[in-house]
Amino acid sequence: MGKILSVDDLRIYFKMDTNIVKAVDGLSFDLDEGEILGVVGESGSGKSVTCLGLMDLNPQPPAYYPSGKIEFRGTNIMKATKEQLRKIRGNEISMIFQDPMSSLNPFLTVETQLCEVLIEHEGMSSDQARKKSIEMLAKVGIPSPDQRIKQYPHQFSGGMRQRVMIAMALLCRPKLLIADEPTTALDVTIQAQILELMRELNREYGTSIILITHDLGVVAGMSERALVMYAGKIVERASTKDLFEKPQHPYTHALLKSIPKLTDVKGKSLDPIPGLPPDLSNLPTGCSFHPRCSRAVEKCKESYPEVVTLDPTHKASCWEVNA
Amino acid sequence: MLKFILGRSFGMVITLFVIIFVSFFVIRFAKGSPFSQEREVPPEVLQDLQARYGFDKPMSTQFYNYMKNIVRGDLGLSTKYPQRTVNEIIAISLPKTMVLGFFALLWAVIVGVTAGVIGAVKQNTKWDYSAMSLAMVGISLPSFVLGPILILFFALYLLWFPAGGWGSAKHLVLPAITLGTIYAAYIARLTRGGMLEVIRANFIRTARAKGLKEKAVIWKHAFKGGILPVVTFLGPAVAHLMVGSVVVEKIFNTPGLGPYFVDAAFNRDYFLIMGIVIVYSAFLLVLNLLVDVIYGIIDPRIRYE
Amino acid sequence: MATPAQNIDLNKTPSGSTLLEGTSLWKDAWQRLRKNKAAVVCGFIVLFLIIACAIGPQLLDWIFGYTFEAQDLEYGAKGPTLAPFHPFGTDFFGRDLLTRVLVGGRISLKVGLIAASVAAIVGTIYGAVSGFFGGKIDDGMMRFVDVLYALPYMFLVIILVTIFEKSESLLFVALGLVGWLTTARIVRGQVLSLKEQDFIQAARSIGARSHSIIFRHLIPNTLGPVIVYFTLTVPTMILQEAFLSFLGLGIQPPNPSLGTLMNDGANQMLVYWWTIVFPGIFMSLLLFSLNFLGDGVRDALDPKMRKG
Repeated sequence: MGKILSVDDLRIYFKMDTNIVKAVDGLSFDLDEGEILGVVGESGSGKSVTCLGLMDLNPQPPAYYPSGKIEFRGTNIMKATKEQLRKIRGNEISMIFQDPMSSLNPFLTVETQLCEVLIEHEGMSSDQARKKSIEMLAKVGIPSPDQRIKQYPHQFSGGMRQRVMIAMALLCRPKLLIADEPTTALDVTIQAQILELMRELNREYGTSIILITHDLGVVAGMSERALVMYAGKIVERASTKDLFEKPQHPYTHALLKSIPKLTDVKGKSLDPIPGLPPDLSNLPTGCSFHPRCSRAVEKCKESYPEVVTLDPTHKASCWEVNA
Repeated sequence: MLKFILGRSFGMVITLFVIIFVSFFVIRFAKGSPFSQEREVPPEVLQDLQARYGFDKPMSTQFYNYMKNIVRGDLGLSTKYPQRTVNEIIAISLPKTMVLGFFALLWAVIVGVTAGVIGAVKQNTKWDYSAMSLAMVGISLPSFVLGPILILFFALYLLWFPAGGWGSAKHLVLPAITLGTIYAAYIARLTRGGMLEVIRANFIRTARAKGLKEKAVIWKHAFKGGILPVVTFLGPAVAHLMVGSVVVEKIFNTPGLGPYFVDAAFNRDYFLIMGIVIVYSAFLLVLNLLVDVIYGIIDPRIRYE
Repeated sequence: MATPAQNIDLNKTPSGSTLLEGTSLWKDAWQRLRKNKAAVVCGFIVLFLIIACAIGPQLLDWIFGYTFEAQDLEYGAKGPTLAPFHPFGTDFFGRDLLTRVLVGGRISLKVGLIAASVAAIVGTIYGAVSGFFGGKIDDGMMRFVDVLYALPYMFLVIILVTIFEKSESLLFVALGLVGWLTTARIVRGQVLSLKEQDFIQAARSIGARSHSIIFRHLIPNTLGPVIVYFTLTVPTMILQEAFLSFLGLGIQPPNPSLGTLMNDGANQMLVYWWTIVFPGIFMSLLLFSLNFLGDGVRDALDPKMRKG
């Protein structure tokens, strides 16, 4: 399998009135064709900015890129012209957003919103586009799609809207699908259906997926490999199995401890991570996690830890981890 | 939808009745009479006049008769212009006011929406600042300041347009701009605000993520939502425009309905005042209903109840 | 068992906490306003115009013996000159136009401030009462506002001022009557959301009287939007006064207001251009800076709106 995406030293900063918010700070990772990669972290860890960055969708200004390279199938996204970008967006890279309620245009019918993608990227006639769109709606499990396509988003339930979003994202059979918390706004039962749908489409079309979530449970069921992000940096990367079985970074540990398990004894209290995510415009010195870390030592306040390679697929950035 | 319009129409009739009722009695119980303005009239002539207009009858009878006539579409006789009915006066002058108002509104919408969209799309750039500063100047230039300036410059200095009067398209240019500019300024600000709100919405990010052309993102995805505040504004604006035309028609000597109104109020020309109030109110009510209907067409989430 | 509510001193706890929040809110707003250069410049212009209108006429009277009605028919209408000191020129009756503009500006500012205050007070109370009681009372009160919105109010104002004796106080009332509707709607909206908040619920639960809740807790918390709308209403009121006076329905001659001056100017402009140009510039400058200042205040108090 070849690489479809490689990100190298990506930095995305936001210039605010008086300070600079370092939302993403030196991110590097690769993605293989057909792979599902999980990205985990608290809100504010830079996950969403990263995935918007992959399509160059962060509003500039205030966003800017001090460094980095995003190579997608031979094109450097950051150097691409507007026209090149436009041809990639929605065509080769698609995105599903967190909130299906607000991510669909309330003023246009589902038909308009689906068909325009095909008309734009595949040059279809509107009849062809409608036919293809109805097929796609059926594929994502929307009953009587030929009727529902004429409706407006507010006439759909939350889960159905997310299905519409997925259908929209998959119309042009993208090589890469970025899903930013696709199930966070949905009921648990709907959540499972949507995840199952994404897995199916990954198998069928070989679409690579970057799945962004704060929910480790979602990653466990979906991806082979996962990155853990904290304060704009990757603190640990491993196969999902390793991540759950032998987490190295104290933050990963803490994340795992903070999810409830069915096997937990009734009455056992959860262990939330103490403190708040750091202020990205004023990061702590050294390791950004040290103020909240139970294992922090003096060295953690002084300098950012180097990457420790446990094995070729498992790396963590922590002074307390030994290879 | 039909039910909604019918329901609203019923409400409108009631509102209109209230307006007629209130203005009828406010005018009648005020000091002065239609015949007190000019030189002394001999008592017997005055009595004749009173009888001719029905002013000798009790007030309630007068109101009843007046309402009866209105239902038949008869707005009565003018006391100032005894040879003419109110219907005639309105029929001759209202179309001119409407033509003027239409072009003023056209100017306001075209200039305002363009400036507003530019301001929003190029937010916090020179374009934005110039568009919005111009809008602020427009808001601060009342018609009775702008009108004379335009006359001085374009009519008296450059001789491009006539300084006033009626007849050709050229006569319309200056008054329409004078009347419409302040609305253009408001529309520009509303459009910019509305567009900015929508441009930041998640569904615009979705549209960009779909790889649509920027033109399609703005005009297809953002414009409908962004223009909603303008639609709300347009109903009352048209009514204000008609009031504003009183001043503009005075400045430019336009033979519209506006000047009649102030004169009629001064002269206690009861039926003429009432006629103009009724026509304008009806206009305003219909336009407000129209705005609600258009609103619903643009925003499918609105349901008529 | 003591209920927690018994420990709440109604007069202190809620307003005490909002006061803390409030101070920082106002302080923040002030900081933001000071950073807005355009608003600061316009603020100074407004201040300058107010001072000029307040003391200018007296100064001109002392030094040159000009008053707004002192005629000099022999001198007549002449363009702007510095000697004799008529920087705005004189009108048909030889009256100094600068004096008349300043006196007119004073009257316009007075009308604007009073009418806007009337509108703000009436609107705030009406909106707060409507929002607080809710239900049928709210429905009825807001329907009334809707009906008034649907009226061609400027016509009613015109009818009112033509038909009744012309006086300044009638003008204030007539204009104030027009302006309170929007304030009422804004305040009602605020109150509707405020009254669900804990401190109001707490006050209710211990049986505080309605008027005390409305005046002590609800209205102070709606001040921000009311002030914003007030600052934007002042220029509107000045404009409408000028509109009426221009039509000969507002301030009556020989008293000048910006509207009557514009009317005089419009009648004479073909011969004496300065009679319209200077009052026009003065009025537009006043409105422009008031509007810009009002915008600045809104942006400062509502930072959410700022970037938009």
